[in-house]
Amino acid sequence: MSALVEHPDILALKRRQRAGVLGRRVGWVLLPVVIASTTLHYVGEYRILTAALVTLVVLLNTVHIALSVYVFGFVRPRRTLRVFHIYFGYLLGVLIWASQTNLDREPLHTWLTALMGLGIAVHLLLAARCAAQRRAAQHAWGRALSG
Amino acid sequence: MPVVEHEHGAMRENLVAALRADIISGQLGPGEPLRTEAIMQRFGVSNSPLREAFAQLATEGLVVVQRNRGASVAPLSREAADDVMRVGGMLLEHVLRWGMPQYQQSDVAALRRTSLDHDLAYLSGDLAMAFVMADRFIDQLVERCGSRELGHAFRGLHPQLQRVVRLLEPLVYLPLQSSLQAATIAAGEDRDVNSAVMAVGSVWRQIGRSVAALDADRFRG
Repeated sequence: MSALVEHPDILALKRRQRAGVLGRRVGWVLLPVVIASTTLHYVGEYRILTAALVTLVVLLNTVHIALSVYVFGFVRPRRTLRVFHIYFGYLLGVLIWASQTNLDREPLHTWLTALMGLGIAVHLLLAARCAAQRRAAQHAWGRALSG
Repeated sequence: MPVVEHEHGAMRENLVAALRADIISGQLGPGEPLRTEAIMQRFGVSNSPLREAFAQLATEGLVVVQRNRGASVAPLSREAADDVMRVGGMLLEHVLRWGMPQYQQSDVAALRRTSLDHDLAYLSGDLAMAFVMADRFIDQLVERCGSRELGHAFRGLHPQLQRVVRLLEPLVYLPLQSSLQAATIAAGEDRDVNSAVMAVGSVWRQIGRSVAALDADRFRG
């Protein structure tokens, strides 16, 4: 067993699995930050805080996409919700990036933000569905396998 | 009255599912006594649904009920695990032999989608979901075997199979499941039953060898 665990392919797989778990957590952190940064931008006050949050959104978004691409890559397109969730996530990542880096270009920014909000709602629904399934699966297979 | 019976049935099913999950995942180890009082308190159930739950789990081979000694988790010896794997392999062979000649494109597509979800869950470290998808793949094969009795026989053994393969490290079992699924799908596209039986049989024997190679402390009974 130890020889198997030390094999480079197994180590690479474990790295990907850890990246997958981390990517999901980054996604859940990103959600409130993107809501806060968008809200503060439209409130128009707290400029420094808004700028800091926008920077954080861009950073977390980049990490979230990078981890997803590292874990899943460009998986073969199939008619499953998981595959849709992955590609939709890539698209949404680009949209978030575009929205957050065009703050001064109205009405482009507002259009991008509206699309981003819609995209986040869909992505969130799918993520919540996956999380519920994961929770049920963890119950069925024991919490030792949680991820 | 029917409402009371329905609630009683739902309570028993929940209890069976929870105890089954604990036994399969190893949280309740082989030979461990199932203390009636503690379980009744934990799940908030009375003695009647608990006895029925024990009886159902006993038919699944997960629990042993002895007169005057109460219930305990069924022991699991290396020989018993080997036996479960061999019988499971025989049933799976018939599931493929009887079902695969009737496969339509939609059947293969459904299997492929489940297999992909299994692989994605495994790659992303969602191991619990990968196990669920592995079970779903086998369920889909059984659903398509074309025989109610064969399906019933396989489903009867399934909890014990789950318990045995759960002894393996996920990094050992899940890649073998991926190979089994890939072999089934490849053969299923051509309805090539003999190739499927050979390839799946080979992977199944590999799973069996991995179980046989486990340390003695994984078994008790």
